[in-house]
This record gives sequence, structure tokens and C-alpha cells, in this order.
Amino acid sequence: MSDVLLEVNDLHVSFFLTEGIVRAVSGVSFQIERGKTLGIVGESGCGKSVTARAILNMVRPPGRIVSGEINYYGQSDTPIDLAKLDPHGAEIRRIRWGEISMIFQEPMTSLSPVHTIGNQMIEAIRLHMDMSKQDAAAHAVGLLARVGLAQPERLLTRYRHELSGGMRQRVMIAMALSCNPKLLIADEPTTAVDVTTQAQILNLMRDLQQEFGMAIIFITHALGVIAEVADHVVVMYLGEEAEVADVDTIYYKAAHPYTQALLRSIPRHDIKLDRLETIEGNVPDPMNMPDGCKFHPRCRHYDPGKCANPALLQIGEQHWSRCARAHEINPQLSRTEQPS
Amino acid sequence: MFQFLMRRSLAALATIWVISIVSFVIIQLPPGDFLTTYMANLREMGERVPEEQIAAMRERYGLGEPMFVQYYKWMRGIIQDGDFGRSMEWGVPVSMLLWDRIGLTVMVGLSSILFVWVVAIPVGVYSATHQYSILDYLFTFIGFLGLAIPNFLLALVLMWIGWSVFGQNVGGLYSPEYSNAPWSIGKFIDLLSHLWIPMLIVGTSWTAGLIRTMRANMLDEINQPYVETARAKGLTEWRLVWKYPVRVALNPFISTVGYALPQIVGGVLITAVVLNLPTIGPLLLRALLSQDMFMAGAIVMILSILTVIGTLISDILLAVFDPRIRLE
Ligand SMILES: Nc1ncnc2c1ncn2[C@@H]1O[C@H](COP(=O)(O)OP(=O)(O)OP(=O)(O)O)[C@@H](O)[C@H]1O
Ligand SMILES: [Mg+2]
Repeated sequence: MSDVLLEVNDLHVSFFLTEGIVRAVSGVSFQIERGKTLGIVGESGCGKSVTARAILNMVRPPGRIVSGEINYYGQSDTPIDLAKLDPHGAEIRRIRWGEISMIFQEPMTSLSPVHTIGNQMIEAIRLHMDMSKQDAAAHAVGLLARVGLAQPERLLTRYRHELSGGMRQRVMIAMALSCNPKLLIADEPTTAVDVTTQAQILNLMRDLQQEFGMAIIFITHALGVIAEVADHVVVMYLGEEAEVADVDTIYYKAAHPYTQALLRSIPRHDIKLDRLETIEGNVPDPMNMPDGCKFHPRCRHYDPGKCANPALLQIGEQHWSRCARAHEINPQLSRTEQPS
Repeated sequence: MFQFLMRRSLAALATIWVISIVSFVIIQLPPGDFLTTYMANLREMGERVPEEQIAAMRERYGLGEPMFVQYYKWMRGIIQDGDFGRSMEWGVPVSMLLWDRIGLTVMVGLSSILFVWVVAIPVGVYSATHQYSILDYLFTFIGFLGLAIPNFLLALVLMWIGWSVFGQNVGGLYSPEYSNAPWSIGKFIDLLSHLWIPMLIVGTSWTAGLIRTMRANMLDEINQPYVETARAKGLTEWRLVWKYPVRVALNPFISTVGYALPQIVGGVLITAVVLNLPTIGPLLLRALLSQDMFMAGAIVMILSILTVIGTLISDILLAVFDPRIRLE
């Protein structure tokens, strides 16, 4: 079996609204290796959640996957293209949660308001694993204990409004791991909780990854969080990837003005700045994307002569950037890595 | 839960008490006491009432005594003997006329609710899950049609259809041969065969409204993250829709069960008059027109009490169905 677990090739997802077409994801490619963590980072609205939903083939009308492949190497070396499966079919429903599970952005409302925690966990477990109700309940209790929740038996009979935000997120993590998935997609799992809880949850996820061995796609808008969890990073901007590399390269050899701007906007203890920068300008209207390089209205290195239509350039062994001037803006890139 | 039940029941009792006072005030509204009017009516028709009987009634209802004594005697009569006073127009005790009709009103009401729910909920769910589909538009169209057609018109049309197509005289709730017969299986079946028309008439406009409500409630819920979680778990669309968003979208319905009854009595009034239904609506209308105040007071009171009980039932149902309620 190859190391690659999931491979996204040139994924396009659009929403067909009466006002026009929103190209939420337009040509994204990346890979995840077994047991590794991939971080997807970008500003609000750049298509992170849509990408995540596309992987489970859960994009709902008026949106749909327009083209591209999502190759999942679950059992063997012959992949299943998740993008081609019937979204209501048995095959994708088996893979959902059984092989690829997901924690959603809104922990407050990700659990049903009128069903108990136990009901929802046992439902998931029994759907994918051949277990009696009692066994499933015992399994759920074990998981709840494992994610650090006190009195797990009692928790089974509780409702979502009886739990704090941090507890809900732990319940979601326990539920997401309940069927031993090979891939866990965590969509901004720590955005809605306080800083202390955030750190605890990040640690918890790291420990769980060691124990369960699943790969993680970690979605966030904070590059600072990525450093702590990810092996590889995809930086997204307006439905495209701006830059793809391993985490150290992103931090020390960023070769896209957008990544550089994101880096300048996070506090770092190793560089003293008078004040943190924010990225100038706003995210453009999704119906009305800029021509050429999508970042150019906000880019400090924009040169109309050079930046006409940048493609994703390979500028290192595992390093891609969608900036025509990648080499000029990053003097650290060694000469030898330059394409001829 | 027990505390919750106690609190709500006490509140209901208090409300009923206030209602009884209001009903009493209604009875007292017309000038003069009812006995004088009653006598006047009888005399007009050339009948004589023995003095002793008048004195007995005067004593029974505390006429000429202070208000609260009259109220007390009226209430005592109701609670001890179920005596709501006499109907001036009909010349018999109100309770004699009332019970049968209340039973039938509740019957028409419950069967209409059943009809409405059985139709409105699935259609609302379908419309929401297939928003802007052809069927959604069709249901919306039929729904507005149902809202726009006046009930009495529908009643006339259905009566005509019932008569000309099925050869059935659909006025009333019974065929003539059963109307004074004691209860039997045959009478019950006869009742059912008449019930569908009022059910349909009361149902249509109401169903149309409820479809809109259900559709809107569903649209609010269907994009909630917990539904997305359920979908990500690999549930089939059918199962996840009925288990999660429908369940939440139903809660507002449960809380309106209690208001259904007075709504029906009011809503069905004209229909009931047209169809000549022996329900309570026409009786109330007549009582008000002829200032038959004991009758009117009794009906208002019983309807209000039924509403209070209905509301109590909704509250309890909601507490059972919605775990968030119990907190407060
Ligand atoms: N159901 C939908 N209908 C129409 N447009 C949509 C829909 N869902 C997403 N979009 C559009 O797709 C784009 C990407 O949305 P997405 O939710 O993936 O952003 P995101 O990167 O997850 O942002 P955030 O950090 O705020 O979660 C946005 O422009 C959004 O307007
Ligand atoms: Mg998102």
C-alpha cells in the first residue's frame, strides 16, 4: 500500500445561484499521507469548508462538484474516486464516518438539540460496526472517558444544552473517532472555544492521533495553530491554493505574498514587531473575482507585466506556489531549486 | 417533572377560576334578571308558570341577592350537579343541550386535527426538502387555493357533490334514522360517513396554513450543523430528515394543539351553520342572538376550560418532547 491516503486532483466546486455562479473551489489539488496531518489555512470564505464537504461528497444543491478527482486509497492501491460516487448511495454512506469522519465548524449546534449524546453516538457506532446496543454504549462510554470527559455513563443521557462548548467539542471528537476512521476532517475545531480549551483540544487531538493512527485534515484560519499540529500545509485563497508545502517551509521559506502576509499577522516570539500587521483590503466578492492573479488587488508585489495568469509553480521538492514572482519575493529560495 | 406538572396544573386551575368569573359577568350583562325575561317570554306565548316554581328558581340561582352569592350558587350548581342554569330560549337546562354537542364538537375537532397533521406534515417536509421543485410549487399553489376559498363555499360545493355523486344527504352528522337513536356500532359508522365533509372543510384552509409553517420550520432546521453531522455519519437522507430536523420542526406544532379547539369552533361556525351540524358553534351563535345568557355563559366557559386543558396538554407534551423546556 502506498503512503498516500487521499489525493485531491484539480477539484472544482461551484454554487449555482440565481444571482450567478460562485466558484467556491476552483482547481485545488493536495495529498494526505496515512497518519499524517494536513493543515488547510485561509481567510474566511476561501473555500475550506466546501473542500471538506466535497471530500465526503456532501456538497448540497445549489452547489455541486463540477470536476476533479478525490481519490481515496482506503483498502487497497486501487482508489475510489469519491467525487464520482452517488451522494446518496450505499458506498459513500459506508465511507462517511466509517472511514472518513468529520468535526464541523460549529460545536454549539453540531449535536442535535433534542436527542441525547448517547442516542447520537450509539447511532453512529451501530451504523458502521456490528455491535449490540449494550456494546455500542460501552464503546461510547470508553471513548468519552478517553477524550477526558468526567462521568461518561451519565453523559450518555445528557443533551447538548447541558454541556459547555469545550465538552461539546470533546463529545464531537469522541463521536468522530467512534468507528476508527482512517481520516478525520476537523473544520476549525477550536475557533469557538477559549484559548485554554483550545490548547487542551489540540493536545488531545495530537495524542489521539498517536493512539488511533488516523490522518487528520485540520482546517483553520489561524496559521499559528497550524504550526502546532500540521505536517503539511495548504494555504488557500479564493478557492485556489496559494501555496503548498511542509510546515517548516511555509514558516521559513514562504514564497507567496499571501502566505507572507498571513505570517506577518500572527504574533511570534522570535521576531519583535512594533505592531502586528493585518492584510490590506478585503476578500473580494465571490461572484466577482479579480482577473488574472486573484490576490493582485491586495498584493504589494503586483507587477502587471509579470503577474498575468499565475499557475501553481513547483519551486521546491515539496513546495508549490501560485505566484509568478515567487523567486523574486523570497531570496531564501536557493538558486539550485529554481527551474531552468 | 412532578414540580413542573404541579405548577402548570395550579396555573390552569387559577385560569379556570378567572374564566368562571368572566362567564358569570357575561350572564349578568343584559339588564334585568333572566327570570323576569324568562317569565315575560312564557307569558307572551300564553303560558302560566306556577308561583312556587318561580320561587324555587329564585332561590336556586340566588336572584335578588348580592352578586357574589349569585356567583357562589351558580358555581355550586355547576360543580355539584353539573347544572349550568336554564336556557331561556329552549326552556330546558343548559346541560341537557350541551354535552352531546360538546362531544361532537370535540370529535369534529380531533378528526380535523388528525386530517390536517397527516396531510400537512409530510407535504411540508417534502416541500422543504425539495424546495423550488415542481411539486413544491404545486403544493404551494394548492395551498393558497385552499386558503383563499371560503369554508362555507367549500361546504356548499361538497354538499352538492355528496348529494349528486354519492346520493348521500350530507347535512348534519347523522342520517335521520340514527339522529335520535341510542349509540350503536351502526350509528358510529353513520357518524363517520358524515364526518369527512366537515373534516375536509375545516381541514383544507388550515392544512394550507400548516404546510407553510411546516415548510418554513423545516427550512430553518434543514441546514443546521446537526443535520450535517447526521449526514456525515452516513445515515440515509430519509432517516436523517425524519429523525432530526422534522423532530425539531414539530415542536411549534405541539405547542399549538391547545388552541386548536377554539379555533375549530370559531372556524367551523359558518360551515356548521351551512351543514347544519349539531356542534356547539351554531348553538353559541343562537344563544348570543337571542340573549340566552345562561346558555352563552356556559358555552363560553366550557370552551375556555377546554382551551386551558388543551394548553396544559401541549405544555406537558412539549416538556416530554423537547428536553430544553425542562430547564426553566
Ligand atoms: N450553500 C451555499 N450557497 C452559496 N454559496 C456558498 C454556499 N456554501 C458556501 N458558499 C460560498 O463558498 C465560498 C466558500 O465558503 P466556505 O464555507 O468553504 O468558506 P470557509 O473557507 O470555510 O470560510 P470560514 O473560515 O468562514 O468557515 C464562500 O464564498 C461562500 O459564499
Ligand atoms: Mg468554514
